[in-house]
Amino acid sequence: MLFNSFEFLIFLPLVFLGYWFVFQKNLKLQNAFILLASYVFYGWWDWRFLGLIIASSAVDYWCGLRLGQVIARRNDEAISNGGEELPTTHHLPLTTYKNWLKGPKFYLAISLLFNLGLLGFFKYFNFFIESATDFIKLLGFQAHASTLNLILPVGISFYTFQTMSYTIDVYRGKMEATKDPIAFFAFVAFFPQLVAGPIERASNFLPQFFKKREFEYQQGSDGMKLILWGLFKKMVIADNCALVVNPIFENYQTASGLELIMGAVLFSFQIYGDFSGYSDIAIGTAKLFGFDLMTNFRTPYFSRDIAEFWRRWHISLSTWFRDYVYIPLGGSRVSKAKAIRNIFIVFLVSGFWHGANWTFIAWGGIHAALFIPFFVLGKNRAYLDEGRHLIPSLWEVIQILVTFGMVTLAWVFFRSESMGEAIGYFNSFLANPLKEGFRISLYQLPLAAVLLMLTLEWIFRGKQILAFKFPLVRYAGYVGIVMTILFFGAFFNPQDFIYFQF
Amino acid sequence: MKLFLIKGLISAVLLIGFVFGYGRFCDYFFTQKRFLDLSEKKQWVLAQEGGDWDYAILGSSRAFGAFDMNLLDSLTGMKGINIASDGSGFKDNYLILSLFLKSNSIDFLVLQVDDASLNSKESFSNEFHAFRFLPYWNDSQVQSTLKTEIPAYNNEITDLLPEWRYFYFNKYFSPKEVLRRWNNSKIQKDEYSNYAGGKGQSFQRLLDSSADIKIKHSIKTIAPEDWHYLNQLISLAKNKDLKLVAFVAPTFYGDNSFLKESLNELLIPIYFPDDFDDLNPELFYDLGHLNSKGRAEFTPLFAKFISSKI
Repeated sequence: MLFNSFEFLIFLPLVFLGYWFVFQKNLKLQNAFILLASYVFYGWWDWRFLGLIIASSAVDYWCGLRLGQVIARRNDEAISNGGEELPTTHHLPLTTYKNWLKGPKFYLAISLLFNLGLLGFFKYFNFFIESATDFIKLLGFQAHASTLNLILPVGISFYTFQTMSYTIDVYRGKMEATKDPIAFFAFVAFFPQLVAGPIERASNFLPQFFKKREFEYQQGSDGMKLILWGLFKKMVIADNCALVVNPIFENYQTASGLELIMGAVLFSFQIYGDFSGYSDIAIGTAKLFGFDLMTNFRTPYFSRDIAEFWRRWHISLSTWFRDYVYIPLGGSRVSKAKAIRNIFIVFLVSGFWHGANWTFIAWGGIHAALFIPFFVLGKNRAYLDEGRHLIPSLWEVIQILVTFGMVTLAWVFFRSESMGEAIGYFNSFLANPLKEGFRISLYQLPLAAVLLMLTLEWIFRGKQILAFKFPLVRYAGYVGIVMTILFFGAFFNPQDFIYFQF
Repeated sequence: MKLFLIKGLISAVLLIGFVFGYGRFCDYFFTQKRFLDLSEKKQWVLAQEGGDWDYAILGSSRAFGAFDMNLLDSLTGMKGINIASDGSGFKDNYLILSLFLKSNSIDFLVLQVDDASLNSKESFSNEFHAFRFLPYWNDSQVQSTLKTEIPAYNNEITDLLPEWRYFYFNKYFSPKEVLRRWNNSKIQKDEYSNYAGGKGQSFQRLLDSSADIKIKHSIKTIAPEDWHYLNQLISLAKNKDLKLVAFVAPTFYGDNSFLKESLNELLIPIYFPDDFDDLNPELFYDLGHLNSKGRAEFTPLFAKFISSKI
């Protein structure tokens, strides 16, 4: 079910009313209702893949329970032996295989293998087969690839990462294992963020299922503002940009230089409008049910360097990789060379997470190459503030434009179907930099919409979007956004959310 | 919660009220003859009222630009109207004819058929100009065709609030478009009543694009839905007791063998331009369209055919 669909328009109010008026008195029933609603939401797309979410939830629930029991038993043993309580990550030496099977690492391994196995099978199987075949052919041998016609289950990259964060956090002792299966299953399948994030951390999100939730007007109102803003970004910005961007990328060989620039720039805004729009609707919807999800985007295109960009873009994924990949590899507390290696690994894995294509890996590699100079010079934490001035300085404008330009170049790889297409895109630009054929009228609507979005995001950066101070201005703002969606939203050519494919 | 629900309810009522009101306004405004954009052929056709002609020519741009209507009238001794328009496949033409016949009368219909309109998805950048017919939603043929062809119209929201349909094609029914039509209404000119054909002499475009000849003539399949609407058109003409002939407009290096095979089963008289010199580039504006010289050559040939069928 899409957020911008008629079905969701009916679904959301029904679930909202049931949640607050029928099941409010009983927290367990409320969680069960959320779980049921989430499965309906997901099953609307393809009910067969519900089995995967249920299996993933069940495996991690069981692993979490077993991890909790093993860790508690070992702590008890340590205390009864006169020692102090052991930190949960400190375990008995792996002297025997039997010992390992009883240890927490075993259950963590089951969780990781199961989830990464699911991901590997559905998302990367064909990629590895094809890449291996290509490699064998490159060596001069005969090879025939047998790939499978697999459908990628929507949201699999998101919910597997979310559920893995639970077992890792339990393993690390950052949180206790839950004994409430309904709450846990609802945490994994929570419909607002099930298919495209934000990827929640169990330690932040799961406890919210155990607290009695009361409806708060302000929270609900903030949620509605986010939903409205998210719809604007999706339907006016992203979908209108897509109408211009898709033909340019499909016909890059014959496009003029200016068209190619416009295609890349508008794709930057398309993917931002699409993904951050989805996140806003997800966070806003969660607020309607009394949940607070983590911020996923903080006006990333106002970043003054690439390091700041990565603190503002897809925050839930980048912090996931930081906490569960970068830091375990040693993070920055190792030699400079190893730290650089760690950064490269994280960016490449992050690119690979997006899909089984060398273009995503190249995209990750480019960002690593852009980020590392700041890290080496110790400038990667230069901009931690939001930027306080209404009017930016000339230097800030230059920094923002340069950063945006670099990010946009990398997006060309991300958007291209293959490496050949990405390179062809740049070659075509170099071959035809001033070729005729640019019609500004095609770009007026998306550019005007982007300008409106950037203006409002600049005004409200670091604050609640659309939170105008004066009531009259506020209502005029709401009406203006609704009218913009009605008259400029791409209703006839709605595009799927880009991140559904990941 | 109470305040939230009240505000939510008021917002929803206002939104639905706005959609309803604006939709009703569009129903009125976009069907008024003075606000139709007569420089656009389809709208010019829809603006015709109370006309009585001997024949009408219906089809795509190839039919639109294939005839010198004054010459055809004088050669046949009849009065005709050319209601063909750019980019029109059989879906468009079915609805155009249906609406046209509601307020005009003709004795027989000259229908253009070609490989492009038999596979409109492959041939036209916009295979169906559904938005042109939205203001005529109350017409049962328009409504059922739009519901069949546009899945988003075949749902409960359109049944409950049909005015919503305008926002689906908001580009064509925006306040900006209303203003443009309003301003245009003061300087409207009838550009097609004495239309002698659109494309000029130049065949430079043809020379420029001659490398694409193979591609342009490669469509050799019939899309079932186009075939369906062609038959709908024929049924409509028969139900209205119209005499019906069809023709294939000349194209550069035209190969009509596929069409000759395919159109046999229609059981209507069809003219193929076998006696037209389709190898002479000076008669063409581009690969698929005649220029004024070609029109002057083709019109008498077709007049001979049509006179023999009356």
